[in-house]
Amino acid sequence: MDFNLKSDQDLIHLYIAGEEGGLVELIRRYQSKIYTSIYLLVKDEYLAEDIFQDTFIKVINTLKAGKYNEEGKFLPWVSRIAHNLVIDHFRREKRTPLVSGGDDFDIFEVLGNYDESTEDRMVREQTHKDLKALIHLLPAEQKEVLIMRHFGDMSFKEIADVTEVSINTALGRMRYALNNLRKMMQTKELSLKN
Amino acid sequence: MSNTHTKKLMDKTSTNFLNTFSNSNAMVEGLEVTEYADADELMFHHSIRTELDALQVKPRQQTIEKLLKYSKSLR
Repeated sequence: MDFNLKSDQDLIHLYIAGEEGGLVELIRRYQSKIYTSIYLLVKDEYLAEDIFQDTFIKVINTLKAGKYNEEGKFLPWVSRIAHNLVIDHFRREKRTPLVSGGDDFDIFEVLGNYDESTEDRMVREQTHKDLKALIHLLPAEQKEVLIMRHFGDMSFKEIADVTEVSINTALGRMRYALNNLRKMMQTKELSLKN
Repeated sequence: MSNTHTKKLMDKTSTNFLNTFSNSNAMVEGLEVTEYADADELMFHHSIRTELDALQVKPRQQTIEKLLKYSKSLR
């Protein structure tokens, strides 16, 4: 049987019916997106492995129990589980992934509008070298929405439900995330040219 | 770059878009909201999609094998 040609729903039905290949293909299909979502939030590969494992244990248990809601899409559902487990982890650890700057966060305050030494500037430019570093500079709320939207394929309604804000706020956070990324990249290019 | 100047830059991309009506397909409580205010934003988002995808990393194969073993144990 060629599992990679099957839809997610078909794979789920096959798995529930006893075909382990269905689960193998679902994990193969989405492991990178789910793991990356978790890793970008927790910034620790071993912790991300643990949360990834816990996520799919929940997925397996729910599917086996026949409790999966077929109205929803598989990836957003798994992303939601992963996100909730990340939040649970931070609550237990009593720390946040990034300092929350709120929805009116000014990215240029982070980029440094202060006198800095040459060494500090080199360290800063190194840090800004790639997109991952820039994403980590985003406020927690904006990073969260960006990750859920891009890697989790979640709708803004789903993101709003998970983060307990309005859809407009979720949309706004995504807009701010993209605009802040663009500004950081432009600033980095300008600093390299000068 | 002064704080006043940077604040103005941030203000240019502030939230007036929430009042923008477009042909975008998100309907919220009777209001049509858009993910992008202009073509520049849409183009930027598309331009970084590939780079965002390139950030993807896989978990260890050992983790996957544990999950599959767990699943089989439930049969």
